[in-house]
Amino acid sequence: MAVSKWRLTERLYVKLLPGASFLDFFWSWRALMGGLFQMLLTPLPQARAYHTISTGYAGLLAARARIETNRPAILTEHGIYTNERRIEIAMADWLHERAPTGFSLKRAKRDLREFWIDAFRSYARVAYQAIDPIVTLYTGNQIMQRRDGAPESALRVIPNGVDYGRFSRIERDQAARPPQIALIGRVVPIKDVKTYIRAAAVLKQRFPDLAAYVMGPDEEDPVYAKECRTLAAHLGVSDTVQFTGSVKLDDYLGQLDAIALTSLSEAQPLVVLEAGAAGVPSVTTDVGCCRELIFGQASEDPPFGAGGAVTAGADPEATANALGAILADPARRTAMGKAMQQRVKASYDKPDILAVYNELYWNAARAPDLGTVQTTSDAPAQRPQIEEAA
Amino acid sequence: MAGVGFALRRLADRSDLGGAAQAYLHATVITSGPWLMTILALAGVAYLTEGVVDPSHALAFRTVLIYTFCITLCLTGGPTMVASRMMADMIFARRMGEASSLIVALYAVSLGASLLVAAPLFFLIADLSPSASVAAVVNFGLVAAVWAGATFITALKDYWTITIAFAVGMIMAFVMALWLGGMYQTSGLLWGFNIGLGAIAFALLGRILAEYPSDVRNVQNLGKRLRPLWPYLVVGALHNLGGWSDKWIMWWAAPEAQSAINLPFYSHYDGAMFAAYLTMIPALAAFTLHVETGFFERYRRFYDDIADHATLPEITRAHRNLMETLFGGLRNLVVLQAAVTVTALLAVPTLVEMLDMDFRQVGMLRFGILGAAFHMLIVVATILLCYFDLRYDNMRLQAVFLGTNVIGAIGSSAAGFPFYGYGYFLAAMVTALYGLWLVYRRVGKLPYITYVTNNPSLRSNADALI
Repeated sequence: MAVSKWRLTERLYVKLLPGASFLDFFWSWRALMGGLFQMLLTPLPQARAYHTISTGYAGLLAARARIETNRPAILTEHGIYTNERRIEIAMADWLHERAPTGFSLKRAKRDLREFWIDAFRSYARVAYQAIDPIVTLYTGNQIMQRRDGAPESALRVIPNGVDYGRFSRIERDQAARPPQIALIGRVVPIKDVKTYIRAAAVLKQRFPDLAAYVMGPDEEDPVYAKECRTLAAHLGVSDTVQFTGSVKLDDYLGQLDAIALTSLSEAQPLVVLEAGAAGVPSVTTDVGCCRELIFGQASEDPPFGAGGAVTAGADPEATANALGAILADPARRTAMGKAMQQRVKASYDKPDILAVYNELYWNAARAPDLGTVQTTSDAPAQRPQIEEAA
Repeated sequence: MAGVGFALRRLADRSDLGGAAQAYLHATVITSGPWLMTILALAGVAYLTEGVVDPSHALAFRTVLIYTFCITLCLTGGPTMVASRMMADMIFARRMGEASSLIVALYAVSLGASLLVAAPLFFLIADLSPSASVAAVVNFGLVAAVWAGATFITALKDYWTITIAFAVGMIMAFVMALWLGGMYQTSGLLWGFNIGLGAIAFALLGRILAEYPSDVRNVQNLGKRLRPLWPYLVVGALHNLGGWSDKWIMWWAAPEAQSAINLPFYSHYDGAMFAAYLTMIPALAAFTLHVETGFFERYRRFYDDIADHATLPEITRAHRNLMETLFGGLRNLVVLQAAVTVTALLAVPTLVEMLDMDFRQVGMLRFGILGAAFHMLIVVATILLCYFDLRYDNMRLQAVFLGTNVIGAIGSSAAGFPFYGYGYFLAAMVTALYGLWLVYRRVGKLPYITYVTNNPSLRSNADALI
């Protein structure tokens, strides 16, 4: 019996990953299937509704709960779990890669990384097909959810909310003073603080008395933090760029003229909303749902207008130009701040968001038993290159 | 530990006859040195003391010697097996700093156990003079020390020291035994023999200690690593008990058995069996020289391939090569053993005459020779099962040997004189076939065993090896 299972493992290797390290296949197969079987066998608590915050193994368990109990299951994923796994697996150095040999131009056989990613895509697909609603923070994420097999009818967006009441009460400092901008976030590479410093150096030529704050802790990556300070000194903006460390945002928001967000990756940055609630416009890179935050969702009616600007990533010149336009034109700045305030109040106010979640839970808990899960076999879950390899 | 095999293979590959002859000589000493020593000592003493020492003293001396050899082998069998395994692990992990601790521990265990058994045996049970009793206990300890030393010599590549130690020591033992025996009878024989034995024991110990860094510390730490190796303790003990059980039963059950110094023995049966064992030597030497070395290269290749992230077809190829080399080698061994066995069987009357044996030993010798052919395969199967760390299979194999040999010996002794030795032959045959079947079956699914059943990461219980 045991040997026949071994033969099955060998056959699966030949079918799925011929040419890969068998040792790695063995452990990968064991880890992936081990998790799957554990999810299938683990005792399931009885509940009126089930909630998972990611796909992967948690999603599998929620899907199982939905299928076994006929009770609703909810999926709320802020980041797309499969995508996060994809990044992690792509960077994993514990996965052995065989060096390509020869000069063949034929596409290399499928490798272990694809195998792992496909496994998580399959797990996601199971969750997406069984669970309804599938909630995420912004519409951009839904592209990935659709690609991994989520049916259109189940997709929903519920953004994160901020405390509009608190931030909107912060008074704007109308007195004449030097222009002030800030990057609010940790001093780490993903926030691309260096682009912000370079933009500050460009801006300083137009606004010599500019104050450019970096508000956030810098202990997480001391090497990068040091590099940022060295860069500021090198560009001659040490007195302009001020590293404040962690601060209470309420103390600064009243004096800030604009927020800069130069991140390389974000989902739904709360600082843009918090500053927006205080009437401060933002210049952001085109990541996550920043475009939605600055210009509003397609469904926004009537449109409130631009709450700042969106630029390309790692482009100090573009960031400086956008910030400069806001700093140089007080009327425009005020209009943008107002648009942001209205948008936050309408779409991102915390009590409203909590009410939406509350309704989601109650609807699920009160719903009558559901029928069998309908799966769609034609969902575009298979990537074309895998079919090629197979 | 195939280390010495490689050194000897280089010697054998020299393009002259002398190299091959030397290689076989050393291989014989290294694989069968302790056995040879037992057999030569018993036969040599019987032959040389004739007319020099009073026959009753010579008989007392032989009885002490035979008891010493059989009991020490059974006592040290388990610990030496465990120590071999630990030493192999240390060599593999390049942790040679701990080797001295292991050597000291094995000697301490072997000598301690010897003293516990030898003292009551020779002081209370055996009918010996106080001086002879002390000599017998010393003899017991020295033989145990030789077995302990023999454990580590296969890992050394210095075959010359070992061969010379055994040769010089045995000559010294005979000369001194004869000289002192003439003056002080039993105790003289024993003390004289002890001098030669001591030379062997200390030469081996000196050579072993010279090889490894002499930094003895944390002997008690070995205990932790010892626990999962307990099946090897059983394997070593059962293997030796299995090999000796037929003789013990014959001592007690055969009406022809004798008794000296209050201890029973049956010299005709023992002598026939020991002579028969000599027929295993060519095949065991060939195993060390050719089969084990070739097999070991494929064996390493198989495991290295797995660790080097080989693909399944590469692993399958390495596995196939391993199987082919192993079973090809075993086939050659069987052919060689068959030739030796047939020749020996045909030459039994001549051998009996040549070795100055009794004509009543002819039947026992024939069965012994047939049994030894299979006994050789049991030894080989035991070594191979150790290579693949199939400790529970190995325990089963040794248990079958012990069980069948006990039943066989009881059956033979009950069936009467013509059947003496027949039980051993049947027991060795059944056990050898079982051993080969185990090896064939397990090695046949080696990838499965490697990845699943013998994979420490997958075993919830550290002992869950097949």
